[in-house]
Amino acid sequence: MAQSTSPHSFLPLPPAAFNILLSLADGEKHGYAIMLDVEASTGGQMRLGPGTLYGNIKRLLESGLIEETDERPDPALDDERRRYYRLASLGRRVLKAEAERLEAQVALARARAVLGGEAR
Amino acid sequence: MNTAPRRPVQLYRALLAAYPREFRGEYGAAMQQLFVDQYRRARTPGERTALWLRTLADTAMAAISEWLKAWRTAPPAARLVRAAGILFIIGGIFVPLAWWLGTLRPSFDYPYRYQPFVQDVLAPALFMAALTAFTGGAICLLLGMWPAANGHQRLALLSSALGSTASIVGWGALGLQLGDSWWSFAMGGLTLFFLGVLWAGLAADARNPLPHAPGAWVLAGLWIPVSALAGAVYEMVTGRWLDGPDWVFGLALMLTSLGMLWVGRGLAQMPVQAARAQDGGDA
Repeated sequence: MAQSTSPHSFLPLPPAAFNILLSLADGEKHGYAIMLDVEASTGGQMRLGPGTLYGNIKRLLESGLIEETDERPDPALDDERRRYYRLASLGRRVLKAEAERLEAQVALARARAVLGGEAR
Repeated sequence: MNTAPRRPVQLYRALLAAYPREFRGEYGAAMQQLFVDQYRRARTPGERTALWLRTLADTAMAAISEWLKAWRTAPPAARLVRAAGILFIIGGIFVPLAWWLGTLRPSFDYPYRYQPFVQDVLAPALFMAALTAFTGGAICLLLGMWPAANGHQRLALLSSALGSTASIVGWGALGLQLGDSWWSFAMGGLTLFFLGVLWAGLAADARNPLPHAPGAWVLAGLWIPVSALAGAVYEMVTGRWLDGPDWVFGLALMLTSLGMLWVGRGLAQMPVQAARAQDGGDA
């Protein structure tokens, strides 16, 4: 069902959802790892609390953009309450489409000298 | 692995009660684990205070968002039943608050100080708002439960809805000083409402969608019977009506409010699958 959905139907993504997908782009992670990664990648500007993070994860799961995985890197070192997530193929396409949309926006801002570029 | 800090975890677990039951059941343990990870990372009292402030804000925003989403995705009957729960909770908070503002509050001041705004405006407004919430709750519950409710429950909820409406009219007329005869109308309506709640709860059976907590419904319906009994006993012993120990009335009211909050909480968190049955699944 989700596979036949156009990635563009999900755009624009809410910032929290975009950053969660971006965090999962380089491999599966659990909630806390996603939270730390988002915080680091946004320079501390976006701090996802447990409610916001899992609310977004729930909707991304329901939309088929991410998947929960049972595989654990090292079960002996890990708490069983941690849940791991990875990007689904639809999620990767949606992430790409959103990144391209944002890139186009940035290019427009650059063209209009908002980012210090020269206006054409 | 480090052990989890006990007190903060208990507090956070209490905060999780703000989320809808389905969401909490699915993600509560993972959210708690994430909070524990965050708490371990915060080392100084300042960092922990900041974490608590962020967590409180996050819980408030995310819980409201999840309730709204649960509301939008729930079947119509479940929405009505949940709305009834929320209205009962509002009424269960407002009634004792109105009573406290109207009767107890001035007695804290000595010498006695009359507070016209609190006693003549705020307390009656809260009381009328509570009655309106009860009326709305009874109507929502009646409509939401109608397909699955048994005959007793339909009649009980109908009497509750009519009773609280009559009570609003009675108290309104008393407030407008239309005559003391409205007192019996106001109290009669209130009695009908609470006895209806009691009856609806006691008429619960395995097929109906009410939360299975008969104690809550009994507690909710106690105000009028307990107050009347206490008044009668007091009159027999002292020869006077309940003019002195109005704390008995207040205590009964507190029990009733507790019951209404309990009933409301059960209805507001009623599992969606139970409500789906009402929408025609088990008809």
